[in-house]
Amino acid sequence: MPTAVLDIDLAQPPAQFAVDARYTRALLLIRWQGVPIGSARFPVYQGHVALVDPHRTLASACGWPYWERRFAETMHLTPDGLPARPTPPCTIAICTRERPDDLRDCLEAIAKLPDDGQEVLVIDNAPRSEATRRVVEQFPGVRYVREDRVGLDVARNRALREATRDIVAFTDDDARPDRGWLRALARNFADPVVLCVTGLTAPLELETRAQERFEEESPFGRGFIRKVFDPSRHNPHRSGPLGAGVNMAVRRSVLESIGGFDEALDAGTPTASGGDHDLFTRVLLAGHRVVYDPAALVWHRHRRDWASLRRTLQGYGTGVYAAWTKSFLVRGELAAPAMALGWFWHDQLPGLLRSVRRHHDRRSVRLVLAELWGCALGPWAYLRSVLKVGRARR
Amino acid sequence: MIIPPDLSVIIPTHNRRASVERLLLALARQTFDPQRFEVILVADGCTDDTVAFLRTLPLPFQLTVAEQTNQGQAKARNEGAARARGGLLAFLDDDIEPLPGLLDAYHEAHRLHPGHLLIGQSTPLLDADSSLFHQGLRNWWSDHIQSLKTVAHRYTYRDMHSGNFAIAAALFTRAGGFDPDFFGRSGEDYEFGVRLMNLGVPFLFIPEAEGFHHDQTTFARSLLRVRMEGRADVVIGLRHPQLRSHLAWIAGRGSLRRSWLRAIAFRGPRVGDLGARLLAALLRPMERLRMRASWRRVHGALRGYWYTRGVADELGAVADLHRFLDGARASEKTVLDLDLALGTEHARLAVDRIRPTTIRFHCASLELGEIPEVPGSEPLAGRHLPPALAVRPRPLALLAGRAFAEPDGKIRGDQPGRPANKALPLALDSRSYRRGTVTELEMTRPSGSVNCTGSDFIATLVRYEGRPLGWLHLACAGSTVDGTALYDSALRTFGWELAADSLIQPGGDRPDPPPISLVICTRDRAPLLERCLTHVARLEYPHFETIVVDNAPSDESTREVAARFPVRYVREDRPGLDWGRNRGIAEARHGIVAFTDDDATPDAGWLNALAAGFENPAIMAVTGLVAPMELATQAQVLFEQVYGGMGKGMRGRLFHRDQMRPSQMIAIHALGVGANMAFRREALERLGGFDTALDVGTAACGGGDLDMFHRVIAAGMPLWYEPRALVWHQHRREIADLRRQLYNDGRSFAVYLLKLWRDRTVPRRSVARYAVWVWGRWLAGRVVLGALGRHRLPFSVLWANLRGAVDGPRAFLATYRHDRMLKASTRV
Repeated sequence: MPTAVLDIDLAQPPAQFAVDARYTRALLLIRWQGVPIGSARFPVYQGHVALVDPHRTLASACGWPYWERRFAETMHLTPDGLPARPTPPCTIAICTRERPDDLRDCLEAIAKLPDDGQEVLVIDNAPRSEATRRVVEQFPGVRYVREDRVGLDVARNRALREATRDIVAFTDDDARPDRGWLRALARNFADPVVLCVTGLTAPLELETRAQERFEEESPFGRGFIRKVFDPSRHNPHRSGPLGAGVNMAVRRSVLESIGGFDEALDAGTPTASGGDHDLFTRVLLAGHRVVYDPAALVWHRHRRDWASLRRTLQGYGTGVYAAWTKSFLVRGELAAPAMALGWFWHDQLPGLLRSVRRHHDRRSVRLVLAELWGCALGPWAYLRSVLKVGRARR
Repeated sequence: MIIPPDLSVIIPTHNRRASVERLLLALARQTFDPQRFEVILVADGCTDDTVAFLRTLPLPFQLTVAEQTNQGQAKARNEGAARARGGLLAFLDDDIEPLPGLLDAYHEAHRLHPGHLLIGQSTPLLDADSSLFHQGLRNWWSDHIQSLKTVAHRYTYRDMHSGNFAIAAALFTRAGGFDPDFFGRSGEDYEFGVRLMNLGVPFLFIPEAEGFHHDQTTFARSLLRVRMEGRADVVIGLRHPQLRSHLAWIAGRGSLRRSWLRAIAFRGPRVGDLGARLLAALLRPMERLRMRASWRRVHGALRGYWYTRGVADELGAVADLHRFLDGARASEKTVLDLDLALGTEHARLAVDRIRPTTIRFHCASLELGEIPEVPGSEPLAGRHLPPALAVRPRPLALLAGRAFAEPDGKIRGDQPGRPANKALPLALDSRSYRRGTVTELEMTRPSGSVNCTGSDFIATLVRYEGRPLGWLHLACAGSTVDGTALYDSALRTFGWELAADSLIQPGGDRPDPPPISLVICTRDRAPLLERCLTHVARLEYPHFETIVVDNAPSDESTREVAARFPVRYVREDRPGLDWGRNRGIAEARHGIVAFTDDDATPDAGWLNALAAGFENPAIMAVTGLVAPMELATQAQVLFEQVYGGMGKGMRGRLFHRDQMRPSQMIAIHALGVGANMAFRREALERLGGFDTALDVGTAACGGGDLDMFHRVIAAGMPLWYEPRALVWHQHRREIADLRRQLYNDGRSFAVYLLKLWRDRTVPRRSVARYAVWVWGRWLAGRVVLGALGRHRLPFSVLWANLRGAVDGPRAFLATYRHDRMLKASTRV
């Protein structure tokens, strides 16, 4: 049951919402004057999205973000009170490993961004072939950097060191940044206390059941309202709502002020993920702020097959627990095990029970178990990873 | 001849040689011409070698060093101002390290905005120390500067920080300089700010006048400063009684923690101080143990204590605190009543002209809250409006203003400035209401008064450009209700829906309206049919045909009525409403078939609204709103308001199998009723038309529409409920008829459920569960309540409903047996 993904601007709605006849459902990303304000699902019948009175229906599906924009329009102000100022210079960094076709699509999307003098870096992480370099050579102005030590966070730190601009925006090779992405991320750095900004991630396609499941299980999108996370009001260890590494920007100074990304975490190490969330946690622990701004949109192609979906979810479990293990062991944070217990008791266990009882709002039992298994592996994976990093250093 | 400088920089200092050196060297690097400014350093009782050292420094500008015994910063600044020769005074503290453009920025700002107090930006240096205390301090400063940077910032006397600001020398003298009485208390800058505010001096933040702030505040010092702040606030309150209300929270009741703090700070300061010191000592281990939340709580409590303690230092006893607060004088208030319906431009102009201290918002007769008065802050200006207007739901009111305003700026149906509260009481508790008058109110047209003689309530269907917004139930005391009062009440109740509607305009070109076949099935009810056809003739739809299906008539009266209207008359002799409907479908020539009943009258825009639903090719069926034509008898009121009536709400809704659970697919009556429905012909043909065994005229007594809706949904076709498609229906007038109707409802619903059981379009488990719920709990519960006289529907009516349900199985067998016979006989 594939789902069509449509990108609709309510300011210029299309006359007909026609999609390919193989789709039975549609996911609409709704914008107003280019800025994402909401999303909604509709059934599709005979190649048409069953959407009557589109403006009214979609406006009520969006709710307050829609009214906020319309109001700002009449009052001639920026809705979130941020000054409309020139974008500070940025570096875009893409960390990739042996996915030349995805990377080409990603670089094409980046080439379409408005030119604010940004620099584009591709960090090729421990490549086995020359394919990535050949792709990058087709794009003038994109810098190719080869990093031979394995690990996503190693590559990210390399990007921070290689970058020549103050703000470094990260995205993945399987993602396609939207036109306004970089500007939307960069303007949030007007507040000097903000070290990290994340954005909205929408699915590029929902063709397979695995992709559908992924979108339901762990939607990258965190809503359509801008949020500022201040350590005095937000538990630094609850990093889930803050965003994800597929769509984030950091000040280059994080390298000095909080030590950059942890090279014992994330893809390429036994922990499989968690590098981004560990960074968010440390930014908050250092008293700085993280901003989630849905105006910064990235389209992400989820894994198509079921096996990688399961692996990904298991990896998330491992990464989160590895990051918490680190917090507990290295920094003596009692909040980390408390969070782990809370997550299990209030979310994972009820979820598992719902799945077993065949509740109508249930997750797939196998995915829940994969995630739990990943969590169980987390602490051990972190220890192994630390030993490995230590050995490599020696 | 000596040319006096343009600008004098005044620096008070006290034993901080290194800081002063850093500051003077930074001043030497200014982009502003060193010939055009002088620096006056006031050494306030310096006991180190600062003064001697300064004399050796080579500096490009003229430096005057004044010395005084230790008398505090206020006196030092006044002293510096007295010696200054420049027209503009820039005050810098010795822990500020100005950026090279600071003096230029002040000079330029002074040229552009003479007579303003210019506030510079002091950026705290983000030092490596990331203790919770310093994190909090840094984030507070960052927020403070961000807030100053916004255009809409409302300046208060607390924005006047003495570390980095500039003011014209004449203005400084006129305001009287700093008050030296604050020696040992701090807060003299705030007090100076109050006097500037009172003089009406506008404040202005100059972000370019930036200096790094080498803040050396430690945790212990910050608590000391909080105590001094408490003392200073009392002294400020003594000078300016309108600011005493800032201290009211200390005397406030209600919070146990606050009462304790007050009691200890005023009555047992020794115990309190000891406890506070102990707690302060506890903070460090707490931070080490990463107990952040507890740390913040304790820190907040400590600050509260030391502030209260400072207040107690000045006032002495709790009784004095109360006397102090009783002496608070209200500041002068200018209140502006702002009608948002007049638009943003009007609002801005009005606020800029009047400069009120308080603004009360309203939109026509809707009250929308206010911007309260804040003692010690500048009067409101137009630039303050946007954030205040962004508070929900004011933006909608503004937009609503557009909907009501005529091109010449007048407001429809309402005059600006007219007192509000004209709205009528709502008939919220309808228990005692027995007879009502049904009216309609179109918000874009002025309404006349409504005659409601003999009724005790008025039910008004409020519409905006044809779209129903909702029902307004008003108590009716006299014999008429004033049209304006009705309008006001509607505005009050449906203001938001109205505002939203005014914003959402149907966009783009609409496709040509598709032709529609309208089928009306009737049986021996010629007078009702005549009324229905009269309304059909008034439909505003360009392209439709009307087919009257006369179902097994007993005389010619229907044919005679039909002959008087431009309709096609068809006779269907097999009895049963669904036979009639199927005949109508067969006769229909167009792609969309709409149905209504003979006892209903469609609204003029009915077909247009139905057609709008069909604009989307995916929509296979559209149902609409059915409103009561009259509520003149007890039976009608009970049917509409207690049993639930036929309306399905005022919001458009899409129904599709994917989004419905089995129980929702069974409770299909939520989708619409047969008096107001339309289908695509292709959908009807694919589904094989209506089930002739069902509905009026057969043993099933109804349910044909429910069965059709269910089959539409079960086939995966999207159905749209469109409230704009409005049909008025005349409910049964007599209780006996109501009883009969509910009996039929019970029976037909039982037949419908049995059909679901037979056809397995939903799991049988769900059907069984639903049947148990609807009869075993929902209806049985009501019957018991009715028997006890505790339900508004009479027992006989409820009982009839249950009896109908019990009769269901028999009716199910009978109707399908009869249907088979009828089909067999007609096939031959």
